[in-house]
Parts: sequence; structure tokens; C-alpha cells
Amino acid sequence: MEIGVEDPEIITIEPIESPVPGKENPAPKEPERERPPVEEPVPA
Amino acid sequence: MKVRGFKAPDSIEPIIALRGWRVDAVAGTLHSIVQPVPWTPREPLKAECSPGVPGVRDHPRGENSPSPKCTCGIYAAFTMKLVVKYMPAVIGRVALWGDVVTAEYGVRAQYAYPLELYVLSHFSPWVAPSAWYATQGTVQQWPIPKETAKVVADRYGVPTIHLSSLQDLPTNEEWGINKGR
Repeated sequence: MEIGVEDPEIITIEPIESPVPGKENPAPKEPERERPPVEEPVPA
Repeated sequence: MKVRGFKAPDSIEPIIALRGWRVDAVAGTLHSIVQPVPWTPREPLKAECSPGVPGVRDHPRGENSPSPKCTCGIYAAFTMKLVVKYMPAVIGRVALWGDVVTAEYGVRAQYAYPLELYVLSHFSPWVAPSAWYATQGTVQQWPIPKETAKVVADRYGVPTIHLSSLQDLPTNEEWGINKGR
């Protein structure tokens, strides 16, 4: 497709709402925090 | 703005532009016209460079598609006049985001998804499918039946209208184009 003269710099677009139905925010998610270890109950 | 390697996005609003597609009239799936790329329903299409394809320059290593040094990316136009030149079976509005190269008459982007579609049944002068469509086996019926619009709408989850004339299309002002610059 002929789109004419291009701008020299790339722009970055991160939509807040996903344009895809049923999809969550397309922005990168923060890594999940590591859960603290669950202590096993000691048998009596 | 760039802080410790983090680059803030230039915009949080996707670019809105226009595109055309081939359609599998039975499966209700969209396909790019120039490259044989299927658009998976309810998934963003991600651009990938195709080295070796005629007209595609070598893509710089380690760079996303699109790159200013290449011609790859998902193309979309700011006017319907540019889109209908490709004799599409489906036309519509598309959201584009990620890394985007903006230009005079359109853009090429890293991600895209259709927003609103128009399935064209038959309209002059593009009544017959091209030979390329026929060899790909993606048009089973012509004119495209009204039911195809419903199948496409269900698969992609976007409003889809069956049109018999380009005269019924929205005007350039009504498309709500966002050029991103």
C-alpha cells in the first residue's frame, strides 16, 4: 500500500483499553510477586 | 520521556485507519490482500518481517517490525480511496498500536485488530474475484452472501454490515480516523 512519505521516527502506542474484544489491557503486565512459602502443618 | 531505560508511550489512543481484506465466506475469517496472512479472530495480529519476499528490504536484526529501515508492518490507509484500489471483499476501520511508522496517507504498525467491518456483496467495478482469490480458494461464493457478515461479526466480535454498494459507506469524515500525529 502506498502510504506516502514516512516520518523518520517510530512512535509507540500503548492503548489503555484493548481494541480486541474479550482481551485484557494490551500493555505489558507487571511480573507477579512471589508468594511467601506456606508453612506445612506439623502433625501432632 | 525516557527514565532509566523506560520509554513512555507517545500515545495511549490507538491509531484508527482503514483497511481491506479477503474473506473466507464460509469460515468467516479475514485474510490480508497483499500478503497471504490470516487474521486470527479475537487475537491481535502481530507484524512480522518476511525476508525474501519481493519488495521487502532486509530487516535489521533485533528490531521489531515495523522498522524505518524496512517495509514490513501491518499497513492501513487514511482514505478509503487507497483501500478500494486493492479490490477487497471486506473493508473497515482498524485499530493499530505498538511500534508505528506514520506517513502522509497511512501507517504501518506492529499490532492491529478490526473495529468495524463492511462485507461487500457485489459492487461495480469489482464484481468478479481476482484470479489470485480463486487460486487461494478463499472465496467460495460470489456475490458474498449476507450470512457471511453475521459469521464474521460472531468470529471477530465487532460490528459487521453487509453492503451492496460503496455509496452506502461512511464518508471519510465519518470514519473517525486518528492519524496519531
